[in-house]
Amino acid sequence: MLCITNNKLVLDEYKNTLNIEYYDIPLKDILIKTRDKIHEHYKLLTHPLSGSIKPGETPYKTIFIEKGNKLDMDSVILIENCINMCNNFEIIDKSKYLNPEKSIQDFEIIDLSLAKSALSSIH
Amino acid sequence: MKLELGYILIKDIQFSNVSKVENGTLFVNQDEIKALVLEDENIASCELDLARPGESIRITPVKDVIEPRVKVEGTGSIFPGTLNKVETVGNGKTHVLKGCAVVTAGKVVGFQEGIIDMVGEGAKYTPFSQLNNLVLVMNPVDGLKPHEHEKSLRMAGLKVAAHIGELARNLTPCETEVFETPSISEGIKMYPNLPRVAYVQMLQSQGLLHDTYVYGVDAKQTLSTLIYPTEIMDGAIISGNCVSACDKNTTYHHLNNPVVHDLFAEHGKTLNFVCTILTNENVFLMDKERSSDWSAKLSEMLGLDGVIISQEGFGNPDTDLIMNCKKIEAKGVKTVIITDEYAGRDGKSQSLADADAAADAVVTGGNANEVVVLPKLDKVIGSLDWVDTCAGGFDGSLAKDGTITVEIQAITGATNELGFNKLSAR
Amino acid sequence: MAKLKVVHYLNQFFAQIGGEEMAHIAPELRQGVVGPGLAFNQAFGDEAEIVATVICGDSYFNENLEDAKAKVLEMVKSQNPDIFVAGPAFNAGRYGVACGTMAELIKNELNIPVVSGMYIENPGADMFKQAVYMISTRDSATGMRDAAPKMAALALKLAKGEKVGSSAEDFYIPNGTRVNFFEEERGSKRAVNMLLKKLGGKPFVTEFPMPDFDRVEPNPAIKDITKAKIAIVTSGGIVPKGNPDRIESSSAQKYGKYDIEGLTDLTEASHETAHGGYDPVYANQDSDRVIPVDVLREFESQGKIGSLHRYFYTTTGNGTSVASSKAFAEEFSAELRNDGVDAVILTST
Repeated sequence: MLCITNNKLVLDEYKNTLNIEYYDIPLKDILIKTRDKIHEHYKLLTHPLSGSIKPGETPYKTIFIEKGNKLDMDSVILIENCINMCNNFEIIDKSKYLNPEKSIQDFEIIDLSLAKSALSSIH
Repeated sequence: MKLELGYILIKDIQFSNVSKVENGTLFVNQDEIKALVLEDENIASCELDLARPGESIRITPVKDVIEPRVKVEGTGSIFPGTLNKVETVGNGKTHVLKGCAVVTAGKVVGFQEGIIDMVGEGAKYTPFSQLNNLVLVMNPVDGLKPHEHEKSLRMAGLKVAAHIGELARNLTPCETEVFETPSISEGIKMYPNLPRVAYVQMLQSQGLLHDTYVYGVDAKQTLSTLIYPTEIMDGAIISGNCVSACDKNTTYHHLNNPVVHDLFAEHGKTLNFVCTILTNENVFLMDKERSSDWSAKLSEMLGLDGVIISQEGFGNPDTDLIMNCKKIEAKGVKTVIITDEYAGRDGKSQSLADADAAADAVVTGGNANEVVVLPKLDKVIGSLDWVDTCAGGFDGSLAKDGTITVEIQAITGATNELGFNKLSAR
Repeated sequence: MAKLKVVHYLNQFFAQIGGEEMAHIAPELRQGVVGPGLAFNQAFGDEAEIVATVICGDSYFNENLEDAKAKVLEMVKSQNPDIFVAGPAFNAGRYGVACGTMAELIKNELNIPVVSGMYIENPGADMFKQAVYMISTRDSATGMRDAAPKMAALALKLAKGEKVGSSAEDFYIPNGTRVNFFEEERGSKRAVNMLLKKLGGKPFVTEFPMPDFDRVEPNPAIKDITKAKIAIVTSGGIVPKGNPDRIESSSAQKYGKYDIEGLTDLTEASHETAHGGYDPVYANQDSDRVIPVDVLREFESQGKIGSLHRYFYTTTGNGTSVASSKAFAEEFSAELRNDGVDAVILTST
């Protein structure tokens, strides 16, 4: 299993126990990274639009994938739909957050919680 | 299982020394409610306010909306497994204070959202503008973690709603309505020629701020299961969901689930409303496969002819919705699904994150990206300072003249996916 | 207030000049109302009126596209109208395409409100529904009484700059833009009603049509391609030189079946394309570019395939309705099967 994330909190929490690729890039680019991996025969384990917080609103995204031996069409279709969906939302500049530090921390915590919720199902 | 709902109609709400219901007015003693809320040591302060239909008031950010109810006959008590002990509800008699609600407000996290306008353009989109609302604005003690904070607000809302519901215990209802679900075998004998229909309700269950509880159990840890529709009317399902204001199902929505009510309206006439199937919306794709397999399997076991499937939330649950639809259709059971759309501000983008040709009967709650301008209102309960960063808000949402330009996704309940509203799109 | 000026576009049939035999007539401008224009004038009331009617034969329009477009545009422009109305075309394919073409052109060139109307399966609907508002009509002229008031109402709305409602409110063919509105009943009630219809096998209308997946399940693979008999079918319009069966260049009403026994190569002298929807130069030079007879003959002689079927089937896919295409295919698929064909190579353009 491989975890792709732009959330430092996820990295800190799981760097010793999970295979993690951390990138300091926007949410949509995490989806695009994941798409590239899918074309290298990885399969999605978690939904790329996990959480009802809209893309653009939260900057964080953590996705779990797993290496397979062939292209997984369901994953291809789902990731493409989700990337498309991202374009329907305005990206909110982090500096516009009221109380940016607290908001960013909250977004990190929620993304970590969604990751934990997925991991509890995986184990 | 048979439940009688007795409605006590509330037309006004007032603060008073004594909490009571008299001639359609709900009187609330502020100190009593505050003391109740502050029993929880995680809550540092609590302010109470009133908001009536037509008043120039904006409530925001809204967490939950709850209708006060009390069980007067039958087993169990309101909100079983969460507020009260876990005992089966949905039978006997329940009194409802119709026309009012407890609204919990206050930020749980740095970016919270949800607007209820009691008047003007925004009021058209939220059903809660039609209610006499008791609003609780609560602040936590310093350093409280988001999940503890969410829990405190959730429990405070339930506690206050149940407390107010108690006021209705000895009142005589203005109207009553009876809902009855026969056992499977009785149903077959009673309605041999009617199509067998169930309601598949998908519950938000992704993680922190995205949770739903069934008799106190976190829905993400459940397999799809069966429930009598009347159990839902007694608070068997409560909302712990704080995200995506327009299409989150508040506890008020669960108590008054419109699919349940509209299926009961046809029960015994044009269809046989067999039961409700509860299923979830987890993040892990294998959970989705398992849960939708189970809802399809239950539909088959029950010998259903048709189901209505409802959704909660954005993105991730589109996949559960389509899986449920596809698999249930594959069992030869006809489906209608209820969803909402994110088609972009211009309405031109693909609306759902997932799609399938099997979903040939869709009801939509509208495009959540549609932009509306909300007027400046005289009073704000809660705080407006989040508006620029909420879902559907954008840079400069809050104009100098006090108007707010937002997508309707910022309005509580605007594009509800239980079909609570008349809003739609084509 | 003065009435708004409307120019109306009709084909030879609705202008009561004649049927297919008169489809060749060139664009013509007449003052005032012709034929169905009367119904429009009634619907416009005292807010607008048809000042002139432009008539063009369907064949003329399709076969002389650039010339027809320019002439019709000039005629409309000469009247300095406030509104342009085209059709309704119902299920007439070439007429529908002409209505859509002119409505889009006039909207862009003259910047005035335009409205057309046609049956949802008219090829013109799919081609132009995103470009211009098109009222959804019945499939035959019996729908005129219903269509004219709807077209007139929407045209007036556009002319007055009023907000256009959803397709369900203003009766246009859904154009991919989602518009919110308040229904009579709440969503749950609508869902129950829809389910009852679906259970009863009655027609119902989904509020959100899923993206069009006209997916075809692939057939099982050919076990041994070196023994298989392969046929060619094309919507690229390849026909023997001179188009002996006069397959239409667009909105085809028929298909052709042609013998290629003994032919190893298609040449400029032997074959050409009848297709009016793409630049035909390269297909006319060498029709193997659309149907690879030359390569298949090579494969046949090398034993890479069993054999090439004696006949190929052809039509033009340009504006041809799905219903016609299906009907063609049902017919010739049965023939292919009877002739022992194992596989078909289907080419388009």
